[in-house]
Amino acid sequence: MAVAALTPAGKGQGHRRAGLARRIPARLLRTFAVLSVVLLAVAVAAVVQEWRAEWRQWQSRFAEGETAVHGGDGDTEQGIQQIWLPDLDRVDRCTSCHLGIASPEMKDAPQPFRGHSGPWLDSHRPDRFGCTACHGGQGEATTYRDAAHQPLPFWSEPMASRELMEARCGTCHQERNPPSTYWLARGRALMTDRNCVACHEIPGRDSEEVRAPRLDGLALKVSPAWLRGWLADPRGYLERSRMGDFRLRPEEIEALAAFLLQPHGVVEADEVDWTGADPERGGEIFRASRCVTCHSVNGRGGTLAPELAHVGAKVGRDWLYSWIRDPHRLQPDTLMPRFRFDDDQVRDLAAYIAEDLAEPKGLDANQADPDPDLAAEGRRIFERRGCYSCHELEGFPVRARIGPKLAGEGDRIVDPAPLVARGIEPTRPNWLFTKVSGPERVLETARMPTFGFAEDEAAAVSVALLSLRAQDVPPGRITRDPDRPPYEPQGEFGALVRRYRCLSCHQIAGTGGTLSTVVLDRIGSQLRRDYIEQFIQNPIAVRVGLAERMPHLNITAEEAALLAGYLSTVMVDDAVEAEVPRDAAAVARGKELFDRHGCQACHIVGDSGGFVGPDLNGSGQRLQPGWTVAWLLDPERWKPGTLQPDHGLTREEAEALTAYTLSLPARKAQVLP
Amino acid sequence: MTVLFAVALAAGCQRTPEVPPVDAVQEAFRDGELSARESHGRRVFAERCATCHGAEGRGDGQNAYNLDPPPPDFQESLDALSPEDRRRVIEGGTAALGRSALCPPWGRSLDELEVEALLAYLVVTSRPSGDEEETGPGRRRWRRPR
Amino acid sequence: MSEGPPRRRVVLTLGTAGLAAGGLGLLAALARSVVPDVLYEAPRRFPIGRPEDYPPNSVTLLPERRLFVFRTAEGFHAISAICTHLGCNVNHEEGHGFVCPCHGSTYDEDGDVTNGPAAWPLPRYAMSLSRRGELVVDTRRTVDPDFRLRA
Repeated sequence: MAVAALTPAGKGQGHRRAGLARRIPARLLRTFAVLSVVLLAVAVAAVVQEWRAEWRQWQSRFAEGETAVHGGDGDTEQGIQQIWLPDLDRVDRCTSCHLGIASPEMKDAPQPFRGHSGPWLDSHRPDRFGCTACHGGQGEATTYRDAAHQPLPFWSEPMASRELMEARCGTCHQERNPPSTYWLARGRALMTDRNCVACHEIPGRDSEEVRAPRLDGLALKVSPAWLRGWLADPRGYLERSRMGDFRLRPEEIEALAAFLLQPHGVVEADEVDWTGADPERGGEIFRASRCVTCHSVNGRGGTLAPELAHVGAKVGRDWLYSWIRDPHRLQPDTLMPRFRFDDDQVRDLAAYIAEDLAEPKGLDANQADPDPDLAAEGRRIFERRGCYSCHELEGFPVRARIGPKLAGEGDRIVDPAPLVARGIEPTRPNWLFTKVSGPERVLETARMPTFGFAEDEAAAVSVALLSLRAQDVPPGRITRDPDRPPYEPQGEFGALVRRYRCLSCHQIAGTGGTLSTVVLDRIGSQLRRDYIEQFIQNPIAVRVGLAERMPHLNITAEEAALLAGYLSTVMVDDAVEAEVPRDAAAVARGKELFDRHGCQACHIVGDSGGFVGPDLNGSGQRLQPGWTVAWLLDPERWKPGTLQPDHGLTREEAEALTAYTLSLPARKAQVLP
Repeated sequence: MTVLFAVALAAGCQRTPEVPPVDAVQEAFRDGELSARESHGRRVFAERCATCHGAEGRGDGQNAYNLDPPPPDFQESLDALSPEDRRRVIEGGTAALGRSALCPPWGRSLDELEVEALLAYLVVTSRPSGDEEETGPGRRRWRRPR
Repeated sequence: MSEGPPRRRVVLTLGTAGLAAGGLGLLAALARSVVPDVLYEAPRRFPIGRPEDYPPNSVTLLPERRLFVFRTAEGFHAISAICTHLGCNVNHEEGHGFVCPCHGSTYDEDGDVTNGPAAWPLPRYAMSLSRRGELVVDTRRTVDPDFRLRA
């Protein structure tokens, strides 16, 4: 163009031009030329830069690949792609480069074109959920760097690691943990276990129960020496202590102990005559009742209740007697059942636990009143550290939350100094991790106790905390369980369920413990009534390899009949059929299927077989026929995570297998009705 | 002035090289040296497989001695199986390869992610354990790609 | 090319040409910047699934997109489901066209108004087939009533 302007000019024009050129001072002319060229260069650079944008290059690469595979016709998205989510206040342009993300056939393509792994996009359509809601990062950016694929200075939400992404699941999935979220589920379980909700308001978890003993009458229960040791280091006594270490100074411990050992509330111990107590017989009762299903002794046994190896150093036998005789009188919320023992059995058992396991020292319920000034100081500590948030005590409000609300914890603005001092990257997850590991590490004067989490536990709790975001999640995006009031068993049945604390281990309608693998909701469709009745009175293990076995509660025959009657008529599932054809042909066909599918690998039939599943001898006297069919057809439906594989049986096959297993006679040695 | 500058320069040079800060929470997620997928596989394995195969896949689970043929030690046997065959066994049981039916099919119980994770963990179990590694020169244990 | 030194003239011409080209380029860039790459809004061009998702001779309403997708013997076409009067969702009645439940506007099968109060026809949107074999609707482009996408 420049050349064109130069050459064809007419003569006169050329003269004028030459005249102009001559009149302008040489320096000005040169400056003008240079500036013009610079301007042109800037304009060209702008075009080139726009044309060479990262996303444009990826798009042309992608189009080349697509042409190679699908041929030249058809059209592809061009230009910046974005997912616009006004309700989440997000604009995600990730799909400008991640062009194959929604195509299953791109599963093995190189990045950035790889298709999304796993089943996630089926339930979380990209156009409804975008990318950064789950993955983090800066959605509006259109370059690798700016999108915060790697941490970016001053951008607080870089793309999350696989583990930290679980926190983002938890933001919407507030109550039930979605599948494959190991860390989130674990962190939430730990938060429940350590009673976080007692001190903090936590969105979605406010209705959780707080488990801690009532402190009324503590002087009657524990030895002062034990109490001081406990306050100084709870995990020194109980490895799995749910109470944290409050990092008390020795004088604070003295004061707090003095306060706690003052008489509080109206608690009376039962009168016991210890003459004739027989600890040996107590030991037999201890073993026969299977106390170790819930309690451990020297680390062996259950995890639901406290370790008993050193309990004699903690409590005296008088208190133990009152406790075993009626735990619910002393601690109305306890998980411990009230076993049906007679008074002599209770006495022997208390004598066994108190004497054989350890001798209490310095336990004196009638000790002189502690120094009132010291006790007053102890009371102040009790209030300041919020002990009453977990522990009930006469004269204190129930569950006053002294900690801050945890909503928005996942968006907390953190002070980097304590982390930098410890050589830790000052990110938000690391700050939470450090705080959870030891609150004094980020704030020396923290009131929160140190829970003594292992590293992986602290990481799990950090994930659960990171899920609590400041921005309100649109209600339509929160998944909640349907509002279901906790199950309250009624009437005579309810009284027995409460007395024997069935729901400490078993679940009914989502309420109850998880120690037992047997959910009671449909137990009447699973087991025969006479078997239930017999089992409740004399629980024998059906699964040989199982460590947790139902304790012997000494339930009477009348109570067992009532419980079995209720369970068999009310706790049924209509999806389970009542009867199954059980002719000889079906049995023979079932036997063949049983061998073909290798069932004996896990189940005992006759004298041989594996120890994983229930012993199948005598199934006919135990099981409702329809149950086995329903179970075999879809084990995961009834018990997610079960070891029973789904063999993909047809109904006819399942019925034949049922006919076979129900035909198996009981072994002579077995105690069956 | 120059003296001051020299002093400042010397002080600057003497600063000890900084240790890069650690990403504490990410370290805590790591299960030994396993990647996220491998440790997921390890959990699935512990849940569904360890009763027979043993926690480390050495064929020493508590139910192993009830089985004939017994479960193999993956350190010795896994290499003989191609990745496709491993998947077929996980999803269809050993019967899918025409062997005994003792190892059941998990294809209908596990989702795709769990199967992938299991496959990843199987590779870990088949690697020589720590003691052998120390004697073997130049052999490194698995590392998580950063 | 006498004493009026040609170098001066070359420099001047070069400068002018550079200024003009650079200025034009920047003007073009300015003009381009008026047309944004993307807006904060729902995408106007979107995939609606594969052809086989739509049975032959069927009318499918996509409620989230407010769009009717027709599959006839001649091919695919898409008609907006938003009444041009006040924006209600129109209903399709087989063989009678579209009826708006709010104020009774009616349209024929091609989306042309047969009865008010609506004044304009329902827009007919361009459709295409992506390389991955997905139907794509572009609501930025309207087409003639006889448009059919063969797939």
